[in-house]
Amino acid sequence: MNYREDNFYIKKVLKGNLPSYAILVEKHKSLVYTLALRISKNHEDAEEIGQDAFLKAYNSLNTFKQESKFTTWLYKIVYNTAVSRFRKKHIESFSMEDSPIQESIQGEHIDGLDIMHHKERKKIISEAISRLKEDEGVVMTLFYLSENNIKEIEEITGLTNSNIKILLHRGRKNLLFELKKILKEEIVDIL
Amino acid sequence: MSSDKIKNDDVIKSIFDEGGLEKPSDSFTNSIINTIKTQSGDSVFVYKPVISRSAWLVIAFVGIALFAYLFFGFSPEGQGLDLYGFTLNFDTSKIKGILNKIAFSFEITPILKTSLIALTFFTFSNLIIFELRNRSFFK
Repeated sequence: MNYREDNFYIKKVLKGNLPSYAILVEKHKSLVYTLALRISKNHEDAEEIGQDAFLKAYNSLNTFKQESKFTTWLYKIVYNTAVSRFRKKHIESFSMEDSPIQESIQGEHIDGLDIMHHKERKKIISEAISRLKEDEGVVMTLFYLSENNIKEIEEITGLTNSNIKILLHRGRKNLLFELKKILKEEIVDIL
Repeated sequence: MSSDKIKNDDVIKSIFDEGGLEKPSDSFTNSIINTIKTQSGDSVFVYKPVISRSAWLVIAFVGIALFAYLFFGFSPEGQGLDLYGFTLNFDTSKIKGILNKIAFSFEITPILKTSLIALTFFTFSNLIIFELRNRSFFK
């Protein structure tokens, strides 16, 4: 489906057009869900967080000032909803010092992925991303998937510029490390 | 940015593009819309003023026109309102005429004139303040 600009639907929703909100949800649900999953690490919780965030966004849509992008505003709601739900379980345990950076594999080619079937590749990539720490997963998803810039990520997560850069650096290293690890496990399983 | 870093960034980007996006259940959207329907009776609360901005502008225009007419209108009787040394040429004959036609014989006293001017000034200064507040000048 070809979607129009978010503002087009927002104006309609504010005039009471509920189907336009359904289109907005359809347009953004995958990224919202993915973001929630990066924090919750659980599909059921991610679904609940995503729905909760969309309800909150609907109820406060008239306060959206359009000073930033709609997605930045929406992801901030998702992030806060997820973090407040999982604060005790996960986020408080996060610390910038507790994760040793894996050995550098920068520039190395992940040969195993090239020869795999698309479905299998997707499964392995998904597994590797899910093994990242919550904040690394969120920052990486926002940066690489949603293509938010660092300033927008600052606005969404409340993290500082340098923290985000550190998380991106660690996330990149850890993702490649996890991919290699999973690929080795796969090969061992086959053998 | 070094070429290695750019290359590494491209690899990560392609990894995320391929396997980074997860999909919620098929009932995800319907569940949200149904909840909204039940919780709020199909509508988002949107503030709508009882008197629209354009209506306020018309009222302000009429008021200012009336005010200007009363101040600067022709006064055959040459009556003036003495306010601390300033004499305002307040044409009471027109108001008298209108009121006499409507119901009864009406005499506009200097106190009533002052009250009318004060009331008009108060009303329009408040209108202007409300309008400026709505445009966030004072926020």
